[in-house]
Amino acid sequence: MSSGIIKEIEKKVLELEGLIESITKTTIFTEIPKKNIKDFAKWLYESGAFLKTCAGVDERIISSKLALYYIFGLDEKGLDVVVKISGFEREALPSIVDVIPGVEWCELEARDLVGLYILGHEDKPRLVLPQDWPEDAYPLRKDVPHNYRPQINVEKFSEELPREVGLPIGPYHPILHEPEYFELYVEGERVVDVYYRGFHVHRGIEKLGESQRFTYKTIPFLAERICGICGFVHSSCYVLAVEKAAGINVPERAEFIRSILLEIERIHSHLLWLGVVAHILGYDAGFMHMWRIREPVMVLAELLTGSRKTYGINIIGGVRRDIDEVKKLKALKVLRSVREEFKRFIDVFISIPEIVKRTTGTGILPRDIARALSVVGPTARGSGLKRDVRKDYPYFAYKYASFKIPVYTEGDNLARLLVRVDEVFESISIIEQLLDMLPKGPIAVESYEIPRLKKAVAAVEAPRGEDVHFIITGLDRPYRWKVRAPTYQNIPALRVMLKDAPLADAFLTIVSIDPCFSCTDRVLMVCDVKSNSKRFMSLFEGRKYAVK
Amino acid sequence: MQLSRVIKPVKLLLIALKTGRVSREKYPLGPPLITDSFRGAISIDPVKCRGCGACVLICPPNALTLRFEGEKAILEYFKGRCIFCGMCADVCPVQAITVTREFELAAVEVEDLKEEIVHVMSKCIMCGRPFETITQLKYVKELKLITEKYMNMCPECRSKRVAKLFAMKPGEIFEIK
Amino acid sequence: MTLIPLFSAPIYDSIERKIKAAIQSRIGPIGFPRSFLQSWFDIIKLFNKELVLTSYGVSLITILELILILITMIILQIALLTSQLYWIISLLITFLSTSTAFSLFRAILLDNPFSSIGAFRGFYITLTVEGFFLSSLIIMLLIDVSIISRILLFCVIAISCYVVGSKVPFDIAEAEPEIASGVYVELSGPLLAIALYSLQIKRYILAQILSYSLLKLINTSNTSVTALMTVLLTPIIWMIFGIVSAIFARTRVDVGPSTLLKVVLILMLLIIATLTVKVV
Repeated sequence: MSSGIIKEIEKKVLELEGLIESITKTTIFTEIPKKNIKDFAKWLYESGAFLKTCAGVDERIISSKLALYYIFGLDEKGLDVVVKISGFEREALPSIVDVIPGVEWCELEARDLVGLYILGHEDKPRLVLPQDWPEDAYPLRKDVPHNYRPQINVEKFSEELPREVGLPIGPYHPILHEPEYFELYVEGERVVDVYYRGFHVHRGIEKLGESQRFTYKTIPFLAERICGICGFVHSSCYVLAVEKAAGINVPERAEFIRSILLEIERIHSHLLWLGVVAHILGYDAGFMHMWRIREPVMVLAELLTGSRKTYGINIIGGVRRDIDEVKKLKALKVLRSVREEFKRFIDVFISIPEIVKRTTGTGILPRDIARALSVVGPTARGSGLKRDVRKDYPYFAYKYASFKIPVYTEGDNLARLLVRVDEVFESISIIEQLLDMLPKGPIAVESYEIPRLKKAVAAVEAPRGEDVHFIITGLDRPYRWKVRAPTYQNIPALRVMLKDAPLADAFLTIVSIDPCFSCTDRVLMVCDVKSNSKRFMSLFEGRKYAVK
Repeated sequence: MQLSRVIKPVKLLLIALKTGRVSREKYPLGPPLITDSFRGAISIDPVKCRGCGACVLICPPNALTLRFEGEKAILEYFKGRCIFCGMCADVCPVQAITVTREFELAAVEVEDLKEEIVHVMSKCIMCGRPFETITQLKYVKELKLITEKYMNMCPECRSKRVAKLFAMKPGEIFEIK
Repeated sequence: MTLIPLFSAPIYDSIERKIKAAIQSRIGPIGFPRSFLQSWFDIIKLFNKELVLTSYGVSLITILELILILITMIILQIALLTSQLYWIISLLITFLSTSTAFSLFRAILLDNPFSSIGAFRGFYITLTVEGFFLSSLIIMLLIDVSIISRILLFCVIAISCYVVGSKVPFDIAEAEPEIASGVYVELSGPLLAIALYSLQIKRYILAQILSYSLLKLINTSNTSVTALMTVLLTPIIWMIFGIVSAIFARTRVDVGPSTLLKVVLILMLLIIATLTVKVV
């Protein structure tokens, strides 16, 4: 991290009448008057910053204002810039969506959950909250209890539902394993537009973490349950944020163990994904063999942590399980055989003509759109953006390992597939390196203290991309805990990827970002654009989808 | 070269031949495939347990709860909620909790998933209200040199007593009713 | 002998499943007698499930399709025993084409636009090869042509038999990940059992036709030997089909038929070339 860029940011902030709150090793906290936020965001964006997320915070207890924190990341410098704007309860805040398109979702979320009045989003439908949620209840405000349940008028709600339903697939559709709702507007077999509605299972984990029910010590276990596949990423990211905020120095051995487990998680997640893709493409043998190769990795995770998934070994200030010599040797042996098997099988896998044919040139995400939407992870790396938190913002023990970041410029499904294939090999090599270098020492700090009202941003590279946690510390538990899962940043890109693609490729494309919604119900509608309505299609309208 | 690319999918058969079958034929028979470090359900040693409630405080999903029924303090372990993190075993001051490797926990009734450890509470010698488990008090006695009388008083009565002692005139005798 | 397929088709299907499982490093159906009868058990179980009728048309067509396929099967058995009779082969061709026509009929009759998308995709694939399949079958069985033409004809028939049997990569009609499903979502319980049974019989017929044309290729003339050989060759061809389907992935609606059409057209042109050379 260079001090030059910090000077530059300081100068710009002062020029725009803002103030620098604090500067830590990796983050600059600033506050900008709301009228100048657009200029500042534009300046940051043009100097290479990616939008990470934004978080609405109810600060009425502290400063009688509602605040919005924009979190930018200067990838090349490894520096986070947190910009705060604030206003009184009904005061209008400007939106920066016309400067950075990727900000739309998190601004809408702040509007829905904290009740910020952000200009430019008045007409947009609710993003997170359901339609039947009462108008003036904002769940993330401090005066709303965590177990608040509004009175829902189901009858009224069912009347408001659109009467005309298109062609619903589902609600039990075996192709989607999590709740999501896509409306694909098709012309013949070609998709012309997409509408997405998610957040069917918004569980209010952030609110729960801020409530009396949890404390700093128990939240890692809650965070681990944000995602079923990359749970350790979330708990690591949470503890990293708290450790940053409180200035806790974690023993090196603990950092190594965390990095090793994060990579194990990446391997199993990528193998799982490759298996799912094989299944989607009708290559069930590929599915079975991929998951067969994955199984030893799961058993290895169980050996090292005590659990196949939701490892549950992250605590603030360290980890709970050590890797001894016996486990280390066993891990190296397992990794060697996994690499062998994977190498042999992936060779067959990417030679299947249908797999190559169906992934090449489908679901293309151009580089400039990927940049504007600030997409993360393999989705970004498949579109030629060299973004990887492990390299850009080195955390835990990644600075000790040498590894490559696979980047493909095609931006199609094959590119995203190959990125993941390469990453499996890289991850195996990272674990081997870290296991060899594993330093001696304790695995957790004895005691720590967490001061109040400290802020921190932490980012961890999940299998799907960059996972961001933003924390404002409070008494016994975070005052505000904002989680941004990687898929959150990637879904808006689906619209670009699905447009003008064949209907048959749509599902593969949706899966190619490795979406991680979070469980239960889903409906998929196919609507005809030509008839310009969503009515149930008459007998012969349906015909034309099959035979053109 | 072109031919080898066409032939490659067939290599799957070789891989399959080399691997053989990996799925288990008769699952419940034979030993489970878990490693030594596997964390399963916990078991609480009722002899060692003192009912201090440290595990209840740390348990993330509230699988361990402590409730008071008359003269009894009941520590309940509900396996249905347990996430098998083993934090309770880490914090237990007397190592009464051990993490077992048990994972086949299915039961017909919800009640079968619950385990209860009943502690008898000691009654306050002043007001007669049950206030602390007997085992816990024994432990306190081992730790600190305090009189039986003082130990068997509930915290409220203790503070009342102190207040009374202050208000006493010289020569007066404090009596426990 | 004519009734062998009725019992053995589901058994062959079970064995195919077992082989596929082995390729995928799984166990598949468990138990010695059970593993060879698994598809029978499935059909029986489906028969015991409740019946939900979505439309009478579809159920009628499903039953009619089974009847048609059974007739085709019986005619095929007779044709194998009495291959001198030209009329019976013509009858076979007629019924083969009729049962395909019925699947089109079913696609049109569907009320649910979703399943009709899938049904039409399936029909689209079948239509690509059906004409070539029937014509090359006619040439193969009725006309005495040179060995090169016969090899080419055999190729066309082999490809078509595989495609019409709707196995991976050509199973897009019923595949779930293709967003639209086929006819089977409209069927339940006994009707689904009937549909599955007729599919298995159809696969048996196709495997038998292919084995018969293989014998024609070698030019065996003895009728009883031919009949016996087909009975033996059919399961082998079925299993080869099964293995091929296990090592490939599913094709796409637009890519599959066009590739197929290209391959079959080239083969047909070559056949026509060899035939005309002979005539000249």
